[in-house]
Amino acid sequence: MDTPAVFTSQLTKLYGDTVALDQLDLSVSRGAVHCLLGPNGSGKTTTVAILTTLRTPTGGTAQVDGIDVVSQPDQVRARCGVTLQHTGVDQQMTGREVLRLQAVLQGLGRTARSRRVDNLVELLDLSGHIDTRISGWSGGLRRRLDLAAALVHRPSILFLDEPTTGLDPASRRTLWDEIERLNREEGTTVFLTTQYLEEAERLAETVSILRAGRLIITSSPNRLKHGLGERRMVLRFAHAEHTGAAAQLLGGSVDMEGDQPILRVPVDAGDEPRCLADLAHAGCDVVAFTVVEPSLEDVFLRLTAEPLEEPA
Amino acid sequence: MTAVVHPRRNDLPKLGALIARSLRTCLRTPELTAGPLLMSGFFLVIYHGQLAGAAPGFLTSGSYIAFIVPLVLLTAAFTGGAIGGQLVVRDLESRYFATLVLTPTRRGTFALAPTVAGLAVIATQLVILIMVGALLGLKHPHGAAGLGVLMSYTLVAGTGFLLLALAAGLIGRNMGAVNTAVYIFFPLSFMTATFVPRSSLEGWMAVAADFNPLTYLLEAMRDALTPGWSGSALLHGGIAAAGILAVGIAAAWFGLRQNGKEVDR
Repeated sequence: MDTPAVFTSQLTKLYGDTVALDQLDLSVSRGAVHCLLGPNGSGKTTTVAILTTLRTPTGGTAQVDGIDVVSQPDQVRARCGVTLQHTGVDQQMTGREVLRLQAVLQGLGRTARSRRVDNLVELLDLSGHIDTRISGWSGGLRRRLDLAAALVHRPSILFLDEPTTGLDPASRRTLWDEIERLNREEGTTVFLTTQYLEEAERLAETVSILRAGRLIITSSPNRLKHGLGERRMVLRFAHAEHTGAAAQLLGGSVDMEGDQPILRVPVDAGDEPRCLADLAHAGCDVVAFTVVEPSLEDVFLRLTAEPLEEPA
Repeated sequence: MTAVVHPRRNDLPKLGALIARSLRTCLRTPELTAGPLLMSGFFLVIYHGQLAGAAPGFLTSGSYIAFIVPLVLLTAAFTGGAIGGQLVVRDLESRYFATLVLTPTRRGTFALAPTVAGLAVIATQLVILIMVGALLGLKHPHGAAGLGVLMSYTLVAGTGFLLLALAAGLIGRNMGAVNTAVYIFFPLSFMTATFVPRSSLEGWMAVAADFNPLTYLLEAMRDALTPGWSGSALLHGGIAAAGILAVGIAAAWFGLRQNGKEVDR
């Protein structure tokens, strides 16, 4: 069996009395794009910090490419590319100086270093700025440089901690395209944390949802949406009083949209004709309806709002 | 296809690249280096201007410029020594330090690079100050040997302070902590034979000077600029400089250990 790219068992991190991670069990296959989701303070950044050797766990084990992050941190660092939540760059340096230094520190030889830096500059479209000081760069450019620095040594696994936070939509999409290309063409495993559910849906094959340091669920976005999400019909009636009657018939919840009442009814795929027929039979005059597919956001909100069960 | 480089194949090129980067930062951030040089140069000119005329009253041998230059060199070395800590704190505050330590490089290399760069900056400042001293009439009765003692004692003790400032930066993670470490120098530099020889000090000041390692360092350096060597002064000065260096090494070692526990605090 293939060694997982990322593996944690009972991984725990305490900061004083605060539990940042509570017995986290994770396994991410090689070549996958895995996303860690969770509200602020759920333990996402702590997980990345432990996996990338920036922090040491209080308990449990963590491995990257089958290598223990505590006992062999240098071996782990040689395999990982990391971009941290807050871009850490020396603004006095030029982009090329940053990449060259990173290449030296990762142990690349002179020729390989020069070739790799040129290659990354072209790949991440940095050529127009690479020889200027970073102090004058935009947030999007800095993120791209950060990504280039993380890729200098062709890591087998890339950790991206909220990589698109603070970026404008165009820069965000450019970065997404690059992450997808890396995964598709170079087979790089990507371990991503984000607060943007759209990002997780677009990039990730599997997502894990954390809450208060605990893993709530790991699955594919589609399975989560169809397993836990709610497909709904949104109905509008010719007469306001029909809304209440329809709610008694089909269930669901009545909301206001402007000054018009609407009814939201959970439905399975293909149930819509039956619902509409039932409503017509009951004399409820439907003037419009839409079907809202379940979203990862619904699942996320539902899972992170439920009370936590105490561990046995 | 991914390729993994064998980590820590050789840390020397890494050290070289990090030193070059630290030196570039010093050149691009003149406020890091100009302050100590200007302050020391200013003190040299003012002390000489105000006290040189009165010196024959308390100096039995040598010139006042030879008496005051060692103090000014130590001031430059110790205040300039803050640069080691300042370089590290810049990286910690910008979070670039976390990016650097995520590479397979020995933690000590990240401390050694700003130390070596800081030493190069201090050495340059010493040369400039000695040249200013020469313009004010400083002579070198022992030639290159005397100059060697002057420079090497200053650099050894300066390295100690550089490492102290580095440790303060690694532990405190802010410029305030680095500056506080530099303030240690000021009481030491005034509770000694700062403006007059030790033999002219009286009461508690004489006792404080006896216990102050800078006293012995200053006496050895002054000896190197005055006709007639004293072996015991050189020995005591060397021990004082080595002692300051040892304290700095211990502090830096402790700072690295503390910092290494959790980088991304």
